Amino acid sequence: MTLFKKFVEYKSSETGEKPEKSFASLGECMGRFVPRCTDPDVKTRLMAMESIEACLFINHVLETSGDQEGYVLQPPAQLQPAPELRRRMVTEEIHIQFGLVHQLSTVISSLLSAAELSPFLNKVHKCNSLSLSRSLLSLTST
Amino acid sequence: MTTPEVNATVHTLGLSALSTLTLLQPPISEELEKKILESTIKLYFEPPSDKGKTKTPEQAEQAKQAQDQINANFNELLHSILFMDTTTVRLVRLINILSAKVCRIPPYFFVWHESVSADRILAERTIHSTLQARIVLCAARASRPS
Repeated sequence: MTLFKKFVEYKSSETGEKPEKSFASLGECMGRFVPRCTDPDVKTRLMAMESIEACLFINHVLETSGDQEGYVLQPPAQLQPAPELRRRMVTEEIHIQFGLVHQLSTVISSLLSAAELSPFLNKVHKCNSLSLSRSLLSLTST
Repeated sequence: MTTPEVNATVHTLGLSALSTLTLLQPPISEELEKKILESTIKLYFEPPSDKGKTKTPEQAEQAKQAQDQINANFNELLHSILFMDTTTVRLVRLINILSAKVCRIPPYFFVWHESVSADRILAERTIHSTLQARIVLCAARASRPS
């Protein structure tokens, strides 16, 4: 998380030509964090959700600052529900987590471009495969 | 002949030197960056094991402080790398290196780990599958002409 904070800090002090117009490999990066939103460890869950927010925020900043002087550090309106979802994610109740991740998917889908959707789903699918192997191992051992 | 053990002070100073190296011009190559991170990341994720060693409270406190300093210097190294190239390509590369280390825990670890039940893992998988489907539906709805 400190990496994201530092990135925003360094970007905010930059002036001149902008080398990027969007977040490179946003989908793949998000696909890494999404599966951790339901991690058994509460700290990991919160960190994953915060990282998702940071990725979407950085992407929005890069996209909207193209023609402007410096970078416009304004979060997108679609990201507004995310901090509240994160706050409620401290719960250990899996059904509530399900509901929260469900709501988070609305936020993600409204900010993720169509081009990034495929790499995102591929990454989540890879993590799902790992989860499946864990499930099978659990079932065979019980 | 036994190899002398590298203590925490050497690790701390080494990380600090690497941060300085990273900040010098010309910027370090991608290959060298990878080598540096691969050889230093273990100091962060795999602190020296103290199993079998009895420690006084003072020694334990000193060891904790030393590890905190190593962690702080490792973070500083990452920040230096990012400072020299503030692109998302570099940011993602750093995240990938860190994630690879985090995800290297073997799957059977979770089975033996009693705090994670089979129900929990299955529930987690269901959430991911539903999430994927939901995002595809939302994206399809958003791209549909009104």
